[in-house]
Amino acid sequence: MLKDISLETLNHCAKCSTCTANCPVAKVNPDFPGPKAVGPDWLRLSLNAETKVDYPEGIEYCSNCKNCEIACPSGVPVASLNQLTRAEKLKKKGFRLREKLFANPRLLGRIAVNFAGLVNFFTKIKIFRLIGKTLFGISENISFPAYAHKSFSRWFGSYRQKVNKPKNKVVYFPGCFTEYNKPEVGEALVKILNRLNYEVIVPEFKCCGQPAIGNGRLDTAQEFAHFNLSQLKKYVKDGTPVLFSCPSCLLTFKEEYGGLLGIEEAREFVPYFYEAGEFLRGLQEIDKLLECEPIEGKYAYHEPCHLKASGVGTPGLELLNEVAVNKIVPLDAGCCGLSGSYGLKAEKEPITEAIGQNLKKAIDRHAPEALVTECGMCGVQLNNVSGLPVYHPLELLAEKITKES
Amino acid sequence: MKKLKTTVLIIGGGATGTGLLRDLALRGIDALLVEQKDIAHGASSRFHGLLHSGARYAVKDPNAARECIEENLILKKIAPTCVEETGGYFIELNSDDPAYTAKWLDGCQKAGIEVREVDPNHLKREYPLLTKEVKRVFEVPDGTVDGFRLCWANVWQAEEYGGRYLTYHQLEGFEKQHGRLTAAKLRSSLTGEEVFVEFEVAVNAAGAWAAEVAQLAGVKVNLLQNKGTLIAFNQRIFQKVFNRLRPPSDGDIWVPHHTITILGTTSVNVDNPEILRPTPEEITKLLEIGKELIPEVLELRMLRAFAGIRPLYLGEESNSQDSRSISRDFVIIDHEKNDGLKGLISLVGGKLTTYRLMAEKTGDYIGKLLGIDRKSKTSEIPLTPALAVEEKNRIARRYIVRAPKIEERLKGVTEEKQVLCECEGVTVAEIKEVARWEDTHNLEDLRRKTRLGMGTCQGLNCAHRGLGVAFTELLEKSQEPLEQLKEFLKNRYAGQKHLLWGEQLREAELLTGLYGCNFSLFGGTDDV
Ligand SMILES: Cc1cc2nc3c(=O)[nH]c(=O)nc-3n(C[C@H](O)[C@H](O)[C@H](O)COP(=O)(O)OP(=O)(O)OC[C@H]3O[C@@H](n4cnc5c(N)ncnc54)[C@H](O)[C@@H]3O)c2cc1C
Ligand code: SF4
Ligand code: SF4
Repeated sequence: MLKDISLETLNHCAKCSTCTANCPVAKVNPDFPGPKAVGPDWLRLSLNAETKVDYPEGIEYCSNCKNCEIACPSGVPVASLNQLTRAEKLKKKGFRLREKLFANPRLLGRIAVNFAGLVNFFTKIKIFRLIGKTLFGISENISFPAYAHKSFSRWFGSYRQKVNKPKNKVVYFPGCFTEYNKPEVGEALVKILNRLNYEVIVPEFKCCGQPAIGNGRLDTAQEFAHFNLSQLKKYVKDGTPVLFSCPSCLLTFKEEYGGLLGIEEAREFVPYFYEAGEFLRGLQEIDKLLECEPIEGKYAYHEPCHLKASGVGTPGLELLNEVAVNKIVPLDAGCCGLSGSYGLKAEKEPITEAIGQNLKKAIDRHAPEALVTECGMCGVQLNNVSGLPVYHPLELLAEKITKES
Repeated sequence: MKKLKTTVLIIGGGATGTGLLRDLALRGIDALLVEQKDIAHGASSRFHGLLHSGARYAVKDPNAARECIEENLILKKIAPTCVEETGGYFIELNSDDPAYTAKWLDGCQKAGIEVREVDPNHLKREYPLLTKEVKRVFEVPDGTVDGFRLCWANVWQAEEYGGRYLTYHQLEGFEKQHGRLTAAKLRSSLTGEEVFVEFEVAVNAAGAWAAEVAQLAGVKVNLLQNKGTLIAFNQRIFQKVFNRLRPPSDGDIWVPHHTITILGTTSVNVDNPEILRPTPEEITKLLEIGKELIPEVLELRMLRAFAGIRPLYLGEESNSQDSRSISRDFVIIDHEKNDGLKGLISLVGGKLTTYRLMAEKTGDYIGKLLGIDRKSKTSEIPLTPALAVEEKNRIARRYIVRAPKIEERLKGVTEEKQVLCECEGVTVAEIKEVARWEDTHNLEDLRRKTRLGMGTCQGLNCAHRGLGVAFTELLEKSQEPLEQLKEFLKNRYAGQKHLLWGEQLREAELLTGLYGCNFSLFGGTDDV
């Protein structure tokens, strides 16, 4: 009869519309009737043949940004429900090459990182972008994240961790963005942790699975999840914390594995998962390090939706504000609109752009020199709308507190 | 005072009365139906919604079983948009008596009810909420029936054949001349206007009120008023009707009805047809029994509890108080024979499933009285078009003869395509069009025709919006729009208040807050 997520939705949704009022996509796109309509409303009506439509109109516009779920006062897993429905619809319609590619960033990443210069060059050339649009439905204008010349794991493999007396160990899950696009973030975290006498372990991982979920490929996501969990098992058993610098990876491990993907045992891992900033802030020893040279300059902070959804607050921002001369202001402009590979799809481009307007306005108002955010893809969008450099909080922190005194 | 004339006056706009109106109209016999409130105000909407296959009566009442299966098949044929051919399961649990199952199978066979045994594991897989105690499962041709829709379909078709009807007109008394009733006095419950109707024959089809109507004519109808309480769950839990396979008793049946599921019923004698309040004992009892089939029944969200009154005919001398042992058969009482009063017939008892047969027999009887020898056409002339239960047929199925106007609006005006009642998927076009109709007198009437506000939110999102989009239309009615809203909310709350715990309590609080702040109406809680 009814799956867990469906049953929860049917039992708990109060039909208050708070989710729809908080959905960034529904706000700008009249073709998307909003999370309530495609979620709880559709679900209930779909059980009755007289009101049943196979798939809710517009469901593919959902970006899995999770704002609906964050806002819902009834604890309805509305975003998860919508991913399930959307995945089913996409599966039925057949996946395009585009969805297959975006679903696993490692496929492209592994190659691109070896030819970073070339790839980055091509993704900036108008004519190639046009070809991408016509052939694959990939947005013509939104900037692609640039690839790094050396992957994080290659750097990590040759890096000698400087830990005096190994006190403690942590596992770090770098995620694809750190791995292929911005290894600096991972490098920063490793260096900070080493200063705190933590040794960092990075087992072999697959993608967290969020892009696969976003592209409707739940089987793929499940496969990644099982692999990643099996890699973590022995560490978690010893009580070793697992750190994430990417909010989407964190959310996927914390919420989607046990929820949307229905992997029961994943729930037991959750207490060991930490957002990197969250972990650092919880260490007493960090206080001393924070008595470092202050961060100068005027920064503004964007809170990624998936960080919000992870329920950890904004520890990165708080740490930074301990050392910043000028208080780093939160932009408080809601969703960036890019939502991972969502905004890279041609038909979503106008939506991404429209949602991004809020960011643009907030940035213009605060006129910072640079921006800070934890999420790599949010960073791409921040740079898109402002042209300003974007940093992960760990990068800024590391620069100060790992400076050899 | 308004004066009207008719050959046959029908009192009561439930399945019985509307069925008779249709029967007579199709025979070409002039008839006028009067109903004190809206169509299907009584048991014809306050019921379980089961289109019996007859299997429930197979052991105890073979005659009723045979009638049911025959009518079941006829209704599926003539009124496919008012019924849903869901099919039904009879479920034997480990704790049930296998000897009864054997008797039941035999009874079904004798009554001509098709039974097919189903693998219980299949059922357990399809419905994980179901108890593990399921032993044997049989499929029967049960269906579901929408009382509002069926009654309106009868009325609207009768209208096409010259039948007339007055809703919100209560019978207040009769005129008698030389031992014969000749006219009736009605009063509009909306405007207070009096109406005087001359007739040749009056038919008392007032259901649970039949004794009161008879009393107005100075005669007696011996009725036992038996209350049945039902619980409506927020979602369609099952796709088929689920029956317990055991001697008929309380809480045996789960009926999927559109988006919801109804569990029932109880059986409690009351002494007034207006005693419609489900008691905590009844609700507890239903849920206790419900647990036997769905152990986690309390986890499922419940929307409302409501009750209906079965008028059970006691005959002339019977004093039996055991309601389940009294036949659910219907009787036609000619008061000339019983009481020497000409011009009045009372119809009592029966089931909604057999309403057509009851109308046919009554039509035959009236024909004889009037000396008009015409055959009933109700089993041949389709009542509704043959349209499958599908979303694309929703409008045509729901509004039947009146659907084309709505379809036109939906094709034309983009803004009217918007879904206004989100829980039930009702569009602006439907609300605006139905509000225009002369037989829609207020927001409550609108609800009964469209399902506005019948879903999870119970009016939270849709009542004020409905009033808003159809304001111009509703302003034309005799009731003030805000009064209409008030009544709407009051009735929504009246059903919810018996089950106010968990999520539905939150819902009611939210609704109270919303309407309290915006309209000073407190969600109807202020005067209940
Ligand atoms: C709890 C319950 C569950 C049931 N479940 C089923 C089921 O699942 N399947 C099934 O087939 N049957 C079922 N029945 C039986 C079925 O509901 C009734 O047999 C059927 O609805 C009776 O219709 P009716 O028209 O005779 O009475 P009603 O529908 O009660 O109609 C009588 C009408 O007369 C009107 N009236 C009364 N007094 C006056 C007056 N003075 N002036 C004008 N109008 C007046 C009333 O307002 C009312 O609308 C159930 C009954 C109950 C109570
Ligand atoms: S996940 Fe984001 S885009 Fe999707 S429905 Fe929820 S709020 Fe809207
Ligand atoms: S999913 Fe949550 S926020 Fe959305 S309507 Fe239901 S209860 Fe309200």
